[in-house]
Parts: sequence; C-alpha cells; structure tokens
Amino acid sequence: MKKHPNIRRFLALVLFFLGFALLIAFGNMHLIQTDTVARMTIYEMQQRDDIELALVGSSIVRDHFNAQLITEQTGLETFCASIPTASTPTSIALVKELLRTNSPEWIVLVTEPYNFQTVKESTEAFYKLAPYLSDPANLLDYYLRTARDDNAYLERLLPLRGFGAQSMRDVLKTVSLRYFPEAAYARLKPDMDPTVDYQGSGFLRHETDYRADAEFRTVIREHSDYYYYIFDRSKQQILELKQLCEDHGAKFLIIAYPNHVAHSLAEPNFAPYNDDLMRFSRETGIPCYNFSFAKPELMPDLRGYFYDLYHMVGEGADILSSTFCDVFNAHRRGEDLSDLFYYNTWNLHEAIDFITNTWAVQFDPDEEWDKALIYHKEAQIRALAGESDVFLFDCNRGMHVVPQYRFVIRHEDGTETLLQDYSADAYYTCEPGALSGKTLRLYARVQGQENPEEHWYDLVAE
Amino acid sequence: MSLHTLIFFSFLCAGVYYLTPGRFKWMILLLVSYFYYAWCGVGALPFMLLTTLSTWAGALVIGHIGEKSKAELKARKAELDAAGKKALKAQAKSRQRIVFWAVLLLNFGVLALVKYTSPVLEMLGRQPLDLLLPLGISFYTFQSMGYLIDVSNGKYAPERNPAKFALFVSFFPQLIQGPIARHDQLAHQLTEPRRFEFDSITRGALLILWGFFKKKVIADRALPLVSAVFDGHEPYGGAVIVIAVLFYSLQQYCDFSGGIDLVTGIAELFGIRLAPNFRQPYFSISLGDFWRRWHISLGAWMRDYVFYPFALTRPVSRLSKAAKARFGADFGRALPAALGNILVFLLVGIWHGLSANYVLWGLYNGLILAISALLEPLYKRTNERLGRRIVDSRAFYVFRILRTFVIVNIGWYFDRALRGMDAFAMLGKTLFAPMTVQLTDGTLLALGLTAFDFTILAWATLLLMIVSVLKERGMHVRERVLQLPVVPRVILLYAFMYFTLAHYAGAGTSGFMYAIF
Repeated sequence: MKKHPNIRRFLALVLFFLGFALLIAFGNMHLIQTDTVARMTIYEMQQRDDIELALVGSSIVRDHFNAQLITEQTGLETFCASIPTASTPTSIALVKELLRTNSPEWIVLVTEPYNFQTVKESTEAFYKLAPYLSDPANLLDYYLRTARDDNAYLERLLPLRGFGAQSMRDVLKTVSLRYFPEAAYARLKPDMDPTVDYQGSGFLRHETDYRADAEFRTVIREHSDYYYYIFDRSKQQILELKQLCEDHGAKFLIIAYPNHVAHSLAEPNFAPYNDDLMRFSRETGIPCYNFSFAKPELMPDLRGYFYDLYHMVGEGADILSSTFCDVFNAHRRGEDLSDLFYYNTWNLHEAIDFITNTWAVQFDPDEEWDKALIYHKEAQIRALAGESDVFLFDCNRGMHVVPQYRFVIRHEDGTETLLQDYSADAYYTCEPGALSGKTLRLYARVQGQENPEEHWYDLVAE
Repeated sequence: MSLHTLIFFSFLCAGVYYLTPGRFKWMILLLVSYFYYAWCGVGALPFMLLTTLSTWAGALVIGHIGEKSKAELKARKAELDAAGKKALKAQAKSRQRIVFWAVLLLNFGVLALVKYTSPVLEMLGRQPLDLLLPLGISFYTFQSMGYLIDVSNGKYAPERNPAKFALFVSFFPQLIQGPIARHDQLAHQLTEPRRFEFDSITRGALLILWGFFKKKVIADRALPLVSAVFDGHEPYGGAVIVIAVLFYSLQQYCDFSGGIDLVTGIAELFGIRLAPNFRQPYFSISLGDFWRRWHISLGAWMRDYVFYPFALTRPVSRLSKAAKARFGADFGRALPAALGNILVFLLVGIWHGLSANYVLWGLYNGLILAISALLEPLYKRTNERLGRRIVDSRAFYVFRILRTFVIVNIGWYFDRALRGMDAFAMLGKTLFAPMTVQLTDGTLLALGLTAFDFTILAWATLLLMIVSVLKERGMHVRERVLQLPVVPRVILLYAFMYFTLAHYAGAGTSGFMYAIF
C-alpha cells in the first residue's frame, strides 16, 4: 500500500463517500418532515396482524372510509391504508407492507381521477411512505418503480431535500413519531387542527361546520385539452396489484371515489377516466364499483358534506362507508349490483336533472373560456369592437337541463336592481363601463321546475 | 447540459483522460470539448470552427510574414541601408496589419452580428431575427483575439498545430462563462501530458462543490426575489427595492463566481490551473479596485487590448499634452486614463447588451472611474490632511469598503433593470419613496421566497462571508481544509456537503447568467 499512495487514497475516498451515504440515509429518516396521520397509519398497520379488509389509496381512503363502521357492518376487521396523494405505485408498496404482518381476506383499491389517472407517483406520497417501509426490497422496488416513471431519481433518493425538516421542531417531531409514535401523537394532538382526529385503523375523522359551498360555486367549466384517462402502465400496475393480492390469498376489488357531480360536470374530461376504468374492469374481470356512477337509490346526494372540493366531513364519510358496506356485502353474497350504477358517464349526465352551480364572467377576448361567445355573434362583434361590455353566463348542469338566468346589481344593503329577468339568454350587454365597480349577481334555475333550486354567483364588474 | 450532468460528465472525462496514454491525452480533451459543445447545440459548432480556423490561420500568416521579413532582412543585411530596412519592416508590418484587421473584424463582426442584429432591428421597429447565440461565443472570441493580438505584437510565436489551437479555443469548462485565458498561460497546460494526481482531483472536487454551493444554494435561491422586483418594480417602494438590489449583488456574484469556481475546479480535475477571475470583490476599497477583483480576466483583457492601446494613441497623447498645458500636469496626466476608462466601460456595457440600461451602466462606471482618476490629486491632498492615523485606521478602511459597495450597487440598478427608465424609477423610489412598511407587512414573503428560504440564504451568506474574510486575510481556505486532521476535516466536509445537498435550489432555477453573454 505504501508503494501505491493513490490506491490508499482511493480507498479512503470510497470510505469517505460510504460514510456520507450513511449520513444521507440518516438524514432521509430523521431530518425530514413527517405527516402525522400517515405515520400513525403506517405504524398501526405494521403493528397489526388481524386486518381482514384493507382499503388502499390516497387521502380519499383516509377521510372517507370509517374503518370502525365498516368493521361493524361487514364483520371484517377493516383498515384504511392510505397515503395522501398516493397513486398505484404507492398502493403497491403499501399493500406489500401490509402483507408482511397481515393476511387480509379482501384488498380494496380506491381510485379517483386526480391521482389514479396518472402513471407517475407524486413525490409527496413517496416522501411520506418510503422512510417507513420496513422491507428494503419493497423500498428499492418502490423507488425504482416511481423514479422510472418520472425520472426523478435524485429527488426520490433524497427526501431530505424535497421534504426536509425546516426547523428543529420538525426534527423532534419526526424523531419522536419514528420511535415513539403513540406517545408522540398524544403530545402533538393538543396542537393539531382541532377538527380532525386520528380514530385508529387509518381513519381520520373531520368534524367541521364549514362546507365548501363557496368553493363549489367557483367550479367553472374550462375548456382545457387535458384528458383524464388511465394509462396502459397504470393498468399494468393495477394488474400487478391484483396478482400480488391473489398470491397472498386476498380477493381484489376496485372502487372509485364518488366524484362530486359539480366536478364531474365542470370537467367533462373526467369522462374518459371513469369510462376507461369501467371498461378495464369489464375486460380484466376485476370487480369494480364506481361511486361516481351510483344511482340515487343507492347513495344520497352528498353535496352538503364536502369541506373542500375533494374531501368530506365525518358525517359524509359515514354515509359513504355505509353505502360501501351495502355494496360490499352484496358483492360478497354474489349479487348483481349493476342496476344500482349508471353504465357510463353519458348515462350519468343524462340522469342529472339539476344545476350544481352557476357563474358569470366579463368578456375578455384573451380568455379561452370566452370562446363561448361565438354562439352569440352579435354580442361578440359589439364586444370586440369595444362598443359594449358583455357578461357571459354558464352553469354546470345535467345533459337535458335547460337553464334560465337572472342578472342583477347587488347593493351593499342586500337589495337588488334587476338587469335581466329569468330567461334563456346566456349573456348580458351594456354600455362600456356602465357597471364598472358594481357587484353583480347571477341566479340560475332549471326551466320548467316548479320549485327551482336557486344558484347564484357574485362578481365585480371591471 | 444541466449542471449535474456537466459535473458528472467532467468526472467521467477526467477518468477517461487519465486512462489515456500521455501523448494522446490532449486529444481526449479536444474530443470531449467538441462533444460537450455539440451537445449544447450542434448549430453553434460552425461559429466556433470559424473563429478557430480564421484565428489560427491568421496568426500563422502574421507569424510567417514576420519570419519572412526577418529572414529577408538578414539575407539583405549588407545591401540595405537604414531606410531600406525600415521600409522592409514597414512593408511587413503593413501586410501583417491587413491580415490582423481582417481576422479581427471577421470575428468581432460575427460576434456583433449574432449579438446585436436582433436588438438593432428591434430599435428600428423591425421584427427581430431568431438568430442563434452560440454558447460562450464572447469568451472564446475574446480569448482568440487576445491570442491574435499577442502574436501580432510578437509576444509569442503562433501555434502551428490547428488541433492544439482548437483545444485552446474550445476547452470545455471555459465555454460556459470564461475565464478568458491567455495562450501563453493555458495552451501548454492543455497539451502537456499530465500524470494522475490525487491532490488535483480532491482540490478540484472541493472547488466544484464550493462553486455548486454558491450557484445553487445562494444564487438560484435568491433569484425569485430579484426577478419579482426587477421585472415588475411598480408595486414596490424603495426599501424593498434596496433589498432586491442587495439580493442581486449576492445572486450575481454567487452565480458568476460560483460558475468560475466550478469551471476552475473542473479544469483542476485535469491538472490544469486557470487564472483566478474573482478576488473578494466586495472587499474593494474603490471602484477601480472592485474592477480589478471582479471578472479579472475580462478586466485584464480590456486593459491590455483596449485601455493601453487607446491611452497610448497619438491623438490621446496630444490631448493629454494640451490638457497639461491648459489645466495643469495632474489633469493632463490623468486624462488618458479617464478617457480610457469611459471607453472600456462603454464597451463592456455594450458587450452586456445593446440596451439603454447596459449603456448607462457602462457610462456610470466609466464616468466614476474617470472622475476618480481626475480627482486623484485632490484625494491625496485630503488624505494627507486627514493624517495617516485616520487614513490607515480600520474604521476608514471599512468606510471605504462600504462606500465602494454603495457605488457598485447603484450601478447594479442599471445592470439588472429591464430598461434604463426602470433603473431611474427604482433609484427615485429608493431615494424618495422608501415605503418601509413593506418590510413588515408581508410583502417580502410574497416575492417568491419563504421564511425558510430567507433562513437558508442567511446561513449560506454567513458562510460565504466567513470564507471571504479568511481569503481576504490571505488564508488559502481550500488548502487549510484539506490539511486539517482527518476527523475535523471529515466532519467539516460532511456538514458542508449535507447542507449543500439538502438546500440547493432544484427545479425552476436558471442557467449561468454570464453564459448568455
């Protein structure tokens, strides 16, 4: 060695980088942020060996499926294995982790268009799950599977970067949740959002009076070119998951999240996702129940239970869980449930006989949305010539619904000045600047309904 | 090529370089340099080839004319009288000059064409052309023309091997943003066979890491705030603008000097030492001092090839003499330097870009340096009056540093502003509409940086300051770190590497600022 100083130094360098790799590994486990509920879920899952029914997926599983209620109504010990923003690769890794200590009878994959239309797994889900996977082979497979799809090899190798602790508080939280999760949760609970509570079995209950009415009022239909459909590779991964379950003697089922009707109508490009999922299920023989297609006789309208655009409060979760149990129990009994679900998006939209929300926009030739004005040639010509201000009206509604609009000036004291009474006209024109600075309100109702449900939307004219 | 890829590519090339037999090593360097350049854009290759071939051939012809003239003089020594010899020399000189100017105009013409055609068309209200700006064209053009001038001045003989000259022009680390090297300092290093030395690798790697830290942890993290304020300053008051200017100082310095550290480190992987391009510029005690510490290679290039040749021209000498007679000896002596500085900075400003803000920035620096040169005798007298105790005191030294810092930062308003008028508007707000409430009402946290970003920047800047102070005091920080006992050295390196890895700005960050020049 003395004769070869370069070799000696090369070995020292290798040692140096090995040490650094260990430091990085330490950092990836301890010097990161931790999602308290995700950690509690993983920890509890790893401790349990009695899980008979596992629902796997994203925050939808965490928020919408009451594990205790499902246990009671199905007689199967239920666990909600969820990681926020998870897609198929995370579900596979999560199921592998679950199968290390449990032999469930049923594994239910819960999908929704936002996460499950894509092959790529979000780094957020990866950062929340990867540091706590107990099987290195599963961890490596999860890393390679996700990085291969989005090329984020470095980002995923270094959670300490994308998900790094930003304060000593973060570090203490991560360390305590890693080694003493139950005690840490008890310590953290008083400072957590008081409207949520980890109820065990992976279920997080939300108890808030707030409802997302205002948010839903702004679910505006946009003419984007983006289509939600399931990629072939995602389908392949779902088949892998099915195979994994079968290899472990578990039955595999897919259910799709009940996407809010307003969303479904606002984003017509969801249709390929829902229809593609059902087609895939029929082709592969994997049983799939799409709750977005649930008929009213199966599930009541859940519009009043959302606290944001995607998640429901505990009460809504109970209704959905109960409906799920009805479907699941019937499925176990071998019953045909096809009559309780619409066959496809077309049937769903055909059956909707109401308006979910309405909105108005002031014409701006640069906005893509305003292409709608092409249906009103005269108004378009006047607007483009700057001869008048034009306000366009629209609403999310069922396929055969004919909307009527009423347009008013809304005064501070709550009184209104009528600009245009209920009519099918979906635009209003006025002199340029005549309404500038005024608060305007648009009402919408379904033509022909005796007691129309009124929807409204406020905007301030420019 | 991203920064990560460049670093990986460099280490890979270094491996191949050391595994290649000695006499072929430089060919590997040439090959990887052209490969790198082609990777960055094949369309830029013809421009580099044109510069390489024209400069190589031009210098060779100039050298040949010189040699031929010498030989003729020697052969006809007996038959020629003094006038004849002079005529022969003049004839050779004139032929050399024709070649020299042809090559010089060709290369600077190409540079001007790709850099200024679109801005000129825009100024004329025409549609700008979609012309390719080849990577590093300014740097390799300046480097090549420096070589041509040196050969023309007889400083050294021209390079006969076109491939070796091509390597001098295209050495890949330098292509990003310099430094502008001199042929007599760099060329022999590139072509000499170099043995593998572990020290070179570790020293180079450390410098690469330091450059990466400056660029990615500081410069790229500070960038969003700078862009937010300079690209739309209207909502902001003077206080926020001052912060943006300070951030720009930091960002620009770390971007450019970090890039140079990276380039120098990569060169060291191959055992090649590049001349330093920065020497703690923000510790300068005058604007002149600043420009001797900032982008040193460009400053030296301008000094040797523009400033002195201009200051020593006959018209300027005559002007100097006339000024001496009319305004006194001091003024007359300082006038050539003053005019030279204005010219140099005007050219540097135009080199940055053909827009009012760059021209104003150049004029601002040139005028301050010119005024400083003209007022030099007054400074001397003032200093004498103040006495050595005050002039040599630490407080006065710090005052001079701060004064220079302020002067430089005023210049940055023009350098970074989108338009000349924006720079004046921002300066006006700095002086008359500070709106200090914006410092505490959350405005700062709406400029693209989170509180955590500010914390990281503060720690990183503190580290940069400490290292700069140590270097300013003459310490060779890199060497000191590498000479530390193994345990503290490893701890220090691990801590620094971890900090850099954890906090370098990732997606959405920029390339090197000076790469576009």
